[in-house]
Amino acid sequence: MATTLAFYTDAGLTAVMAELTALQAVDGSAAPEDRVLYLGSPTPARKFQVAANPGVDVITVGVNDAASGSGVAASAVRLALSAAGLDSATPGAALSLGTQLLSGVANAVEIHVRIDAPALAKGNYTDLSLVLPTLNEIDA
Amino acid sequence: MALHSSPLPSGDWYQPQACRLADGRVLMALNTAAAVGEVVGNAITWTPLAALAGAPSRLVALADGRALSVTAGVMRFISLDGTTISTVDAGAQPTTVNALVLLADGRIMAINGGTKAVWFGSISGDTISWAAATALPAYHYDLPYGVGIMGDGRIVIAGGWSGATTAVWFGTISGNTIAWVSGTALPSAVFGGYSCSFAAGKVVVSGGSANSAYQIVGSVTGNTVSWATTTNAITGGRRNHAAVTTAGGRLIILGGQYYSGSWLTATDALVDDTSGVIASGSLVLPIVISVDQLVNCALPLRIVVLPSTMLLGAESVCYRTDRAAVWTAIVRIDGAVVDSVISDIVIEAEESSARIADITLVPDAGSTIYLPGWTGKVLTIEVADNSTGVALDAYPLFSGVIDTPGVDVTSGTLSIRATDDLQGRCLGMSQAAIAALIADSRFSPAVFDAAADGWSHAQDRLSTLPAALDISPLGALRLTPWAAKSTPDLTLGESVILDGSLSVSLAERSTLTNEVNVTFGYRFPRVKAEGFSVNHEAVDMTGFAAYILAGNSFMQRAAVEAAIEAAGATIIDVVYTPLPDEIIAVGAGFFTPSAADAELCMGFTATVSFDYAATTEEQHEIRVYAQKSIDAIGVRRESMSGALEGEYPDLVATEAGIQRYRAEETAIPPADMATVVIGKTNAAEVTLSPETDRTAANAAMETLIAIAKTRIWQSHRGNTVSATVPLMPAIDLDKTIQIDTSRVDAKGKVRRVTHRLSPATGEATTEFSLALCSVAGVGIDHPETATTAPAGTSAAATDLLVAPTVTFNSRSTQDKAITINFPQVENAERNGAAITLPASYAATMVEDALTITL
Repeated sequence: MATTLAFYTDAGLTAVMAELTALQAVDGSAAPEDRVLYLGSPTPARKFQVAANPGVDVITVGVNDAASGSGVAASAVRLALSAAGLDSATPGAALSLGTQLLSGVANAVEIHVRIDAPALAKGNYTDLSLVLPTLNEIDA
Repeated sequence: MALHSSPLPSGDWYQPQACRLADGRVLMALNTAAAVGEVVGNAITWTPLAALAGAPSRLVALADGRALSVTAGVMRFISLDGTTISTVDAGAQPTTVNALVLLADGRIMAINGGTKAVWFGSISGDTISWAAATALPAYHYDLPYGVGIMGDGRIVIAGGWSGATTAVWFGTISGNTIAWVSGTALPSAVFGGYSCSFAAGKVVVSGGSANSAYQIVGSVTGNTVSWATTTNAITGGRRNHAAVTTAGGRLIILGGQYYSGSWLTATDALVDDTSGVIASGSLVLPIVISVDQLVNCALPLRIVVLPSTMLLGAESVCYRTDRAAVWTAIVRIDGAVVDSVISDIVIEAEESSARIADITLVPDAGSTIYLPGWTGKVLTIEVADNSTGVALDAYPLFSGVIDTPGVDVTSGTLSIRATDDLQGRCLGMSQAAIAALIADSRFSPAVFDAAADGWSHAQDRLSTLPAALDISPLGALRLTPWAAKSTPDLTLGESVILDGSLSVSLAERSTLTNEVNVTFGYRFPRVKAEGFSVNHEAVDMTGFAAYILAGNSFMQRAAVEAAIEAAGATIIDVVYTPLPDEIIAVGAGFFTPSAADAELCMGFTATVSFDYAATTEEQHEIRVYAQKSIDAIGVRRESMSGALEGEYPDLVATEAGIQRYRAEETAIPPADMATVVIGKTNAAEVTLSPETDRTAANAAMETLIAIAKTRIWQSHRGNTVSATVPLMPAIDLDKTIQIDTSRVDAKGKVRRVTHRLSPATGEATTEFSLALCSVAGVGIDHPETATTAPAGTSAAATDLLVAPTVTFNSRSTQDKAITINFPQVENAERNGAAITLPASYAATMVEDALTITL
């Protein structure tokens, strides 16, 4: 059974985000692009824990680079829980969300993403993604 | 019902405070000791705790596991980590708290039975926000354990002392309002350290000074209570105890006093075994629904890297300076590229509105499509360079969801309308998130609906700020100020603008507003005290003998005080001139002192007060204006109004509470009281609810002023320059564009943009409109007055114009009456006449460049 946890464009968890697209310039001159997305599940009474050590291990959102050494480096992405936190966030670092996530709109986690790519050849780069560890979804 | 005795830990548990914590343990405390107990069967196992600093006068358990106490007027959060107890100050009590109750919605109710005041407290971390609630229906001097919450969330008060009472009241809560309804009266009065326990549909009243051995059990249906008295249920009786109810509805009476010839301190708790519940709790078996890897919860990132000339708009895939442009549109539904022939694409965006995309598709003949399945699917549109036959440099134009798929069965075409769902995005956002997004905006619950949904809340905030909210083609919410950037993002000249597309539209005078008159009424109470010095000397020692020889009497001290009180005044202090304590020659005889002289006096000096509450009404007349616009086009006026009334408990009860405290009839100080100053009417501010106090009134006025300023600027943005160019994806609502042609020179923010693509014809254009603020001329400055609320009135002291008079009918032929006349309270003081407070604020706007040369 597929998990009900997903990234959404809205805090009401009504529009699933399939992809996050950002525009950058070949000479690296484009302004960093800041985005807000919401991680959550609209299904009531569920909770999510790291499968390896439920309730103990911290759930993280990390930046996965499927083509390390080529494409865009993970350091082009910063993650934070607030807009203000982006400035001090470590490029490419994972974001900690606590030992469990609860479902429901009220418990959606607001995640701020900043994409600031260096000079690159023009093209579409799809080697990066935001990933979570393997989670268990159980009744809350 | 049978009550089982279980010993308490060592200590003098007379009048303890107790509550049942969220984890089921019982916390009990008094000045010298504290303990926590686990209920096991019909016994309690106690663990002594470190004594709290200062005696808690009230104690209540909170939903978050902590407890809240009142100690010497200070609220304190109490945390229990195992058996380690710690406290954190939570601020001053909102009123003299006689009872604390946890409401079903997690708020705290604080009750002052002496004034009937009720306050609701919302807890956030270590902070409590207090709001005044509807007052008690009657005075109640026998809290804290006579009030509680029924299983259905209603408040119930049973018995107590306002005179020994059998009254029962039910209170239904709605916000900060309590609708009180009387319930079936108790069969006999209970008061004096009794307790009530409350469970679903049941009230148990135990002990007290009257009927101390009784337990009265009531079954509740609506407002009807079926009472049954159990005689001698409590052996030896019990009063001045604490009481808690377990999760299973079992009653536990803790400490207090029992009667055995005299009242003695109890050393045990009485545990009810009625329910037979030994342990309470639910058993949960977690069911793992999915333990698969959440690889499908990953979010792919796509970073599109383009030449900076394209990002800045100097060129696009539809407009090249070095060669002919060959473009293609890429439409994706739910991530899959649409391979049908695309007839037309129109993407429209306007300030503070949703971006809309309309697409017409011509599917292959014979293809079958499940159209309803498209609704809600993600739709993206890009335009790309196709000069090599391969789509390159794809530039995003739209990202949203399909709102309305349609079909024309005659022509065999499909139509899709998609939206970026600006409204839906805002709907789900919290008010805090919207406030952060629309930074520097203003909000006041006195002006806007505090319970509005996210979209309405965003609209409310936008009405206070010269800025527009929209979603970018990539899906990011963004706020763009109306003021054009000093350096335009794009400059477009005649070489780019399509022939005949340039147009100018100027705002009608009737649509302009350059003055907004805001009327704001703020009505609130103040407490006042008139201070009088009243004195009368019937005789002094120089005329003492003659006074007696003339047959005069001396004043009775009791009669003096009765005369003052009969006039409605409260005695703060009185000093009597005593009769001589030595023998005085009076004519042929003597005045000989006696013990009865202590009840008489030759004169007196008293400080007295008249305490009352009066309503003040401020009428703020606020003018917000743009003078240079008025100079240019004359006055174009609008008006707005708002009002706020300070929430405060019943004023009559407030006056009564102050008077009773002054007269020392109660030791409970009123929440607010003016200091008595002789010869003055002295006013004092009262503690209003945070939603209606002076800070709230100022926020409301500042919000109205901000709305007025925004309206003025908005109305002056009615000038529009529009043009059409070859499709430039970079042109969007966040851009400042300069039009630089021989006829028109203008610079402003984009108000509206429409991209039109027709793959069939190869035509791709961008039509845009600039919003231009222009009234007094380019470079003209409109200085602004800061949006700070105008000053209101303040509590002050005014002189009393008339002194009281005293007459004493001292002669033997008179009635010995003492009459004291005080001047009536001035109408202006009592009624608080409306005070008009004028203020004016200059509104700013930034003039945009607009020069037309013909």
